[in-house]
Amino acid sequence: MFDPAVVFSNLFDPVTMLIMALCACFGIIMGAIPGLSGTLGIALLLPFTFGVEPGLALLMLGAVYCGSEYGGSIPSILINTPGTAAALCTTFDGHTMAKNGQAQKALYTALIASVFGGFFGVLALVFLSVPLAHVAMSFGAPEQFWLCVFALTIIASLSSGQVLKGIIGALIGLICACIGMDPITGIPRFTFNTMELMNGINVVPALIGLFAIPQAIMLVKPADGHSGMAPYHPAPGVFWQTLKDFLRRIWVVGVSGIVGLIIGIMPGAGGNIATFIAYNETKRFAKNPEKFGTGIMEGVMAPEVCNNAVVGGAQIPMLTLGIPGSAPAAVMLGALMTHGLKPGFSLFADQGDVVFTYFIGLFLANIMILILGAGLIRVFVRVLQIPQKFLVVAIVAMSIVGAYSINSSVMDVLSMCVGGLIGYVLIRYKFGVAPMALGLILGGMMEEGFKLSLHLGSAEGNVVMFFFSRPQSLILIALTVLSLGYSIWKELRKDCKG
Amino acid sequence: MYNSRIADVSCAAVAAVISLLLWSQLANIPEEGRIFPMCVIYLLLGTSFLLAVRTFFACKEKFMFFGGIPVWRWFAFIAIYLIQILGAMYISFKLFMGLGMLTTLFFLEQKHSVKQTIINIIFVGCFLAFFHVFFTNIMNIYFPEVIFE
Repeated sequence: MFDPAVVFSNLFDPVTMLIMALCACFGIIMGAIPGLSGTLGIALLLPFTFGVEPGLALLMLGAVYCGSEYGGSIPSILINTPGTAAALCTTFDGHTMAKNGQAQKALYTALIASVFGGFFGVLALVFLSVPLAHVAMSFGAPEQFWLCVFALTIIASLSSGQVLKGIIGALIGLICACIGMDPITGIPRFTFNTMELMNGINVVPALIGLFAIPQAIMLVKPADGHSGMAPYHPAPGVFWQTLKDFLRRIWVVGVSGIVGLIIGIMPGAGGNIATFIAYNETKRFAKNPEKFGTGIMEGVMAPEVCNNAVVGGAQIPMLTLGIPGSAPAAVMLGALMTHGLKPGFSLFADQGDVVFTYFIGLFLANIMILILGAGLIRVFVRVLQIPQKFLVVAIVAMSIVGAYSINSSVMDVLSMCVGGLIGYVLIRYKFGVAPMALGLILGGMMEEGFKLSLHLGSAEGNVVMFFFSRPQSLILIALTVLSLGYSIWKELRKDCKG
Repeated sequence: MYNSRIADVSCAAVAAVISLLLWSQLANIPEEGRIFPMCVIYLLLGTSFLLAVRTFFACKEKFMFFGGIPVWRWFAFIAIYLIQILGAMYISFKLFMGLGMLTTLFFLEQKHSVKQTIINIIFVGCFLAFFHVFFTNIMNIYFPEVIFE
């Protein structure tokens, strides 16, 4: 499936190592600045990957993703403001530890937990992707269609908090994916007689706009001043002491890692939900659950292991089925397609070197994060003091340049611009950006599956039976109905209580 | 600030209008190319209607479109953003990117000083130099410079 000599020669090239280290640093900084995120980091870095090999491109984005998950813990611990949504739980015990004069220990706990969580996720990625890719091989056109339906309904249910709004967001994404020439008839659709829309909407600039511009607009809000940074006084020997204490509580890695992995695999759930569940589960298994929230190591370990395990988990369906498990994975899927890689069994069979370079590279990225985190912690702490105005300007400029550099096309920049404004509106009206992004990404695949199924079904004499009678299709339909039904029931219950 | 009911009903109305507009665009397309977008449009119409109906059973919440950003500040930022993009793409990339970045920095500053202005100019200069070196010199991506051609 892959040639180890090629994979290792790709990975241990000094330039590759340097680029990975820089990307991991960039990811940590993106995670550490409240208001920015790993998704934004990946979206902004995407244009820089076009000139490199697909394996290295994926690694660059993967290093940013891993780095940002750790980076999110830094402001959670020091200023009680999560750098990323997934780091919210880290504030509970992390900031309390920092206020108790244990800021350095809390930061090292988060670092070591992130790296262990990362290892856990990557191990799962290595061992679960290949079997799942074999399952994906048995999928035909109807399964392809139902898989997209399942992914869109589950992301719509989980990401926006309101099922109906999430579904509308996903449908808008699907409509946008239909813009341009129909792949079968070649007739233009929704182009309003303009040549510029003939080729459709390029997914990557639209994703840059959807994820980056709303963040920039929200940062325009006048700074309300942080509540003050917890005292941070570095002392020698704390890292090794923290590592020893960490290894005594290694069971937390198992509990939180499994939670992160399972939730990561579910499309759309992502780290935000997973960390809360991991925190609660760890509390349930702990000898002294009443101490959670008072500044204990387990309270920092649980969310940090979990949100880094999500990184690996979210990429399993992305690489095998083309269904991203989280928002950063959705942008990575866009990158994968831009580099000409098609998720599924063929990716593992034909591009084994690229895939396994990526898998083993993610291990290295986590080791780099450990080294960088331990060595440059003072630098990352200072990142919290960067004025918002510079961030806003940098995000907007990078988005414009990034969108243009994909095809040197003005239309791509305009797509990014419009996508950004739509993204802001969707966030403000609580539709969420992720459903629309996924609709845009999966639109082509879903339409292809739908039309092929129609043709094959009519050739077999019964279209309805062809859609609804195959065992894999039935499983996917059942999962869709269950997830949608559960979300609607949960929302109705909330309404009744409210 | 207004309540979430008005926001949701207006969203449903906008989604329905967009659906009808898109539906009219499919008039002369053969069934092969029309069937999938048609299904999506019907679903969008249906869900918009459900959203409007659901709104009347949900409790009212405060809703802030500008999310705590002063309205004039929000509009000024969007105006700078749009002018920056259109100018950079149709007139001169370097000129409008530089001016747009400087204007945004100046506009987002709480106190203006000569020192801050110099820092801003250096920051913007570094960015433009980076774009030129990385994208144009290394990646051979040439940004639009319509007036200087």
